[in-house]
Amino acid sequence: MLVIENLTKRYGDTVAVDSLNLHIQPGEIYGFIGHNGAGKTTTIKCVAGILNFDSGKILIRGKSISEDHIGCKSEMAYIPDNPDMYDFMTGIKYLNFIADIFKVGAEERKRRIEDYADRFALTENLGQTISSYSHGMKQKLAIISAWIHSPSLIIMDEPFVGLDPKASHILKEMMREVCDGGGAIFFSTHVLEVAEKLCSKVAIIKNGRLVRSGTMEEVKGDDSLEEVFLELEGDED
Amino acid sequence: MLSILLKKQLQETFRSYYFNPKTNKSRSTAGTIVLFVLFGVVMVVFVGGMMASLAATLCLSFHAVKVEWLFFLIMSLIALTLGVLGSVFNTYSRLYLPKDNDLLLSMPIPVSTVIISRLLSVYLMGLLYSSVVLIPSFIVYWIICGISVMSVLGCMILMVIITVLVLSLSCLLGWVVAKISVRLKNRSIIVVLISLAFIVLYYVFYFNASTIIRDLMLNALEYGEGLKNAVPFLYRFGMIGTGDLLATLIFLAASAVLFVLVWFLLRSSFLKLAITPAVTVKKKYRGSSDIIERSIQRTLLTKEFRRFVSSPAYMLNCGLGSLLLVVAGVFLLIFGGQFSSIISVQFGERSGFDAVLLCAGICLISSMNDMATPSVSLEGKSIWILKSSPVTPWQVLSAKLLLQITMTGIPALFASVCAAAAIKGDMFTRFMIIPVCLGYVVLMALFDLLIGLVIHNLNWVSEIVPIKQSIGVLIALFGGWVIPIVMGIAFFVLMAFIGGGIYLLAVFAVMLLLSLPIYLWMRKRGPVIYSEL
Repeated sequence: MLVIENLTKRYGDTVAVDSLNLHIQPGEIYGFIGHNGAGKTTTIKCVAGILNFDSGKILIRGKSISEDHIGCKSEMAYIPDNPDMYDFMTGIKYLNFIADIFKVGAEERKRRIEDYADRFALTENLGQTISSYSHGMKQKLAIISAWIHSPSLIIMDEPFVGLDPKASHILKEMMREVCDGGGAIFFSTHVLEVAEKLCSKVAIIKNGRLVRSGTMEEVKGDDSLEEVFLELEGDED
Repeated sequence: MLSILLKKQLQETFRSYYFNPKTNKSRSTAGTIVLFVLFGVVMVVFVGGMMASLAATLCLSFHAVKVEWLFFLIMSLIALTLGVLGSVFNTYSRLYLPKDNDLLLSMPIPVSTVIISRLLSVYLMGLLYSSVVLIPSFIVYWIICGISVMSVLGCMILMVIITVLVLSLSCLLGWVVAKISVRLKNRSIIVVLISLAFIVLYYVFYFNASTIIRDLMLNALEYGEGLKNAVPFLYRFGMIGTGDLLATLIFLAASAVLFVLVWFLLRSSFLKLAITPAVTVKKKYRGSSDIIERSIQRTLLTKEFRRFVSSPAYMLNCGLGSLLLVVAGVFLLIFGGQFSSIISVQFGERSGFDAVLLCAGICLISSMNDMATPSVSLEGKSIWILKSSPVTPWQVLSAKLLLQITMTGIPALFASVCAAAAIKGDMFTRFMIIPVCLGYVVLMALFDLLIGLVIHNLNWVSEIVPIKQSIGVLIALFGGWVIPIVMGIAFFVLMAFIGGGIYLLAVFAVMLLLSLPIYLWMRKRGPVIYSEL
């Protein structure tokens, strides 16, 4: 589903991501963890086609993001850590906008909007401008817009920040539904308990380099993910 | 506590002098000094000089007939108007909209301390605007009428009274704007309409100012006596500047009372207005009727259009040309014939100079529209939406281009058809006005987008920065003047050798030739620059 090979991204002299390799298979929920400034967001933005990278390869269902970015982006959805959306639009107009971009038919989009908005109890607010939304409501809208075209790969940067416990639970359910349907999820998080319970695989990144990856059992063994993470963080010091 | 807040408020007011808003980095000391000097030059030399010249003209005439109080009255009214108009919208945003409202109110700071610190910045703004009128007026008065202790004292107290009045009235109007904003739904349109009304009023006054001043100078004594008898209150007010003790005491007390009343009004309503969210349209989701399917190109254009109409600042600064083109079209339908006759008398009926001049005029008005320039920067932090979507950069850029072409092209078509219909001359020359105006619209849209793409800034905090305070917008606005000006001057030189119709055809061809390389550049380099944003 997603292949990242030798991904390197520099900001001037600083190497933000250094020869990163990751393979994500259909049906996997892949957690991406690391300290602040480790290179998670940069990696995610490169995968989402927002940032150009210096070297390496990113393939989504066999298509290269550098060569066929339209084809790749049609297959996936991206949710940033702080979803700044078009404040001047209403929620429903924004969802229509995204559905137009992804060419989702009227019937299909109506069904999906109603389904997801009902799950997140956002239907009543869809007629309001996004500027009046709380952070959590914006996050819910971003999630609905990501799910609206049934992507096979969903990339998320800290998706649980700002969500209430119920909305977090719904999002986890939706993530599992995507994977059950043959899709894949790649997301970053600082909430290690969530990663431990939700992810089938996990990757730990430190200073732009992948320090450990694999199935949850392979990565943490008999310890908790938190212990492994703290141990790896401590290695540097 | 108050001094800490005052310091913060002053840092905020003059932030752009110390920090580059684009890079968010500190300016060098030299850069800060240059900015302050430039500001001083603009305020003292240009605005102050203009006011000193007006004051000298009035003071000489009024001193001759011994109605100096009328001079102070007029200059005070100008200072009051400039001060209030200059700070009314700022007052609203400075008092009620700062982003640190919640933070400050959550801390152990008395509400009145927060209000006082905010009022100081409003007062400074009013002081700035009023001073550029009052200080030159006082100096002119002392030079022409002589200086005395009482007149110096009177002028100083007049300054205090005017600035306190500006502060009180600005706060009062700011309070009204805040009240309205909490209730109104279509705020952006209302703000645009109010601003347009102010602009129209300003220009009506501006174009009639010389007549009014001449009339005042010729009949100073008569008007002075009439006003003194009819409204003694205004006479007393004017007497403050001359050093009249009674008038000074009366108005000092009156302005203090007004300020106290405004203070109580602000104090009692501040919390409610500062923390009440603005009215949001409680429109419910209506199912199928809310589901509208559009093509990618159409949905991108609709998005650009929504962005445009959602912001009064965007509409006023980058789209005023659309309105003026319609007004110009109507004006041409009514007076175009007369204009054509005047030009025909001067340059001959077959010269076609009227067509070229009208064409240049319509192009000049069209150049006021430059919404494509800030449109790239306005994507700001939400640029991730389009960059992570399956749309090509060219689709995004062409939507921005189309917004300007549509918003300018349709009214320009109307104005040019009106011009062609209104003037005399041969059919071909009159017809050529239309393609030239439309060709100019396309050329400028391409040019404006190019500038916006090359000089972009996605890291703004206030949308005013990309809309109004960017060098790109300045280049787009003034760069657009070159073609119409050259068009008019060149034909004046060439009209002995070439007819208006053929000349306009040549201009149209030049516009196409200029548009083509910009278009080709935009197709080739535009997407590269966009993808690197």
